[in-house]
Amino acid sequence: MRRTAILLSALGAGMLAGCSDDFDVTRQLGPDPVLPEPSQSLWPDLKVAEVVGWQDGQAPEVPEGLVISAFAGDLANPRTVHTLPNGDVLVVQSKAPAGKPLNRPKDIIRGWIMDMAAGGGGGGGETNLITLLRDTDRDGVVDERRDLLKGLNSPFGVAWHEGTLYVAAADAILAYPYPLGGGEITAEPTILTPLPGGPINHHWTKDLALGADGRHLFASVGSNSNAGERGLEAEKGRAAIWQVDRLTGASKVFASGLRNPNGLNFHPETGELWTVVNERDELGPNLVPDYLTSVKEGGFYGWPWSYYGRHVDPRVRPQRPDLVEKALVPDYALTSHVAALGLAFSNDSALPEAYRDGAFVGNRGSWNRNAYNGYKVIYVPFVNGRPSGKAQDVVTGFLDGDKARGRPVGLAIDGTGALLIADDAGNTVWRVASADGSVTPRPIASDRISTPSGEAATDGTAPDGPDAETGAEPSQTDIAPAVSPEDGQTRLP
Amino acid sequence: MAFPSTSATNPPVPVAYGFLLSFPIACFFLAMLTDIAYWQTANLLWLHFSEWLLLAGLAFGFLAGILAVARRLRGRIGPAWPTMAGYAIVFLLAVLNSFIHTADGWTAVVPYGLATSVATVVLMAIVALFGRTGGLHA
Repeated sequence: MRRTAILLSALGAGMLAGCSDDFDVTRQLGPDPVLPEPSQSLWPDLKVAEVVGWQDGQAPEVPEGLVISAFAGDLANPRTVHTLPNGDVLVVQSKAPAGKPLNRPKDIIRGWIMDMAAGGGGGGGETNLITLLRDTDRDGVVDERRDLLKGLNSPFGVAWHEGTLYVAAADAILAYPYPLGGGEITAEPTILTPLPGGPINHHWTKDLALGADGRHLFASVGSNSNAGERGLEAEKGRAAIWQVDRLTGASKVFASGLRNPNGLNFHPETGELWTVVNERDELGPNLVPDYLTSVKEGGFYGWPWSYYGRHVDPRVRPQRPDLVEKALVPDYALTSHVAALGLAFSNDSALPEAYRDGAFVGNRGSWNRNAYNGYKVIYVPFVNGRPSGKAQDVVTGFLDGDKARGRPVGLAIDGTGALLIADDAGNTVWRVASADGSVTPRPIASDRISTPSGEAATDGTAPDGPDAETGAEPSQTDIAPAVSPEDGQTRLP
Repeated sequence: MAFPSTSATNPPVPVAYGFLLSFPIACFFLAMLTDIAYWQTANLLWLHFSEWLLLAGLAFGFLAGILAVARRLRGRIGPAWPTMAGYAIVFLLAVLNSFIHTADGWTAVVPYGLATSVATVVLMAIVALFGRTGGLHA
């Protein structure tokens, strides 16, 4: 059983294009990727790495000038990491929600492949929880560890502001009263706003970022299908980034046509919203590149009708040339099928100078490809708030031959200015620090806001426990607004 | 009622065979119709119908084939070998068609899926019309 990675190549010949094994993937790294013609095979290229986990003493590899250590182990599918303004780190652990309906014979096979990629049982422990990691003396070692919230519905994104912890579960944004430095959360949450959820919830990870004004939350909602094959009705409000009023829950679609956006982050200098997006499968091993992009308000980015601007997807009918014409081209391609899920800007971190103006991207790794791609954390250098130059590999070694020790997902700069990596298959949070031991003078929160709200935990905006029990005030959007991409479009100038 | 009378050692083509064979005949024919419906409407419901119909036709067709081959190998009455070869080609066409139908949307049907569905039905009709039985008493 040496070769347990499955490799199922295309069966027929007639309608197939070549497998293009000789394609230089670096031609798809950057602002102007080379896009081959779509090729649809009878059986999609499939190569899934079996998850074997990390043995004692094993760790991912980093280049000179950096050191890596396990910040926390024995986690259960850690997906995202988030640093609070006081330097405490939240680790969100979750697995895909159950109950997806079976629509097609193909869904049976697909489910089996995805289970294999996720490594089956994970850490064995209970997942769908948020764990607090506290490094009191700021030496890069966790001094205190507590499970803050348990039994959540597949959480992914978190944000904190003015005494309230916001958790993006698979179907809603929840608000919990939580003062910084607290060790537990006992109050029931209020629902700030529902988000498009099950029963399909194909791309279920809802990421969260706090706007620079401290007033709005931005939530990512991935599509319900690969390329619209569950019908447009299933995509209402999805493949989009929502803007949600933090106090009232009123929400609107901020940008759309983004197949599976994650890693929402505001650039520390320009204040622009950035995201990484997983693009569509089954158009060949080198289509479509996942990408890193700034997000324009009201912007439409093509999905499902087109990719990378105006490249029409032949599978989607009825066609919408009017929308394809308006599709924006993303800023920076990350090559195809890397499954980019994490993003962290390194500005003002304590990492070496070479890594201090740019973005780290966590690439969980491919399955729809005959050669592995991704399974590493890369660094995209920026100049003046825009990507500039080739991305470079920073954290590698997640892949060992055709087995995966781990898979990097969410990223964050921790309270000392080092990079944290949530490894959802390896059940570990890794910490990549400057080898010279430098730390930032004080913690920098994952959400960097410009208003001087400080760390006041008792300014009245936090929902308090007893009220929450009775339901408190209803959200203004009891029903998720059904917003189609064209609605988003009408707001464009 | 006129089932052909035979001896106990050579029963007629059993009811089970006709029962099983009726599934692929109906399913593949209906899959062609649902493919046409999808082609005309782009309503994904019809694509899903086609996928399940193809799968059901293949499952029952496989059982019918096993039964027919097993009987002939034991020297009993059943479809003649050329007829069975014709059905085997129908079966392989439907397998190919199932893979074509796994595409996400339009290209699952237009043009190759629909073309393969039509070819499957045409070949199936030819085999049914011109097929012969074989065996000791044929």
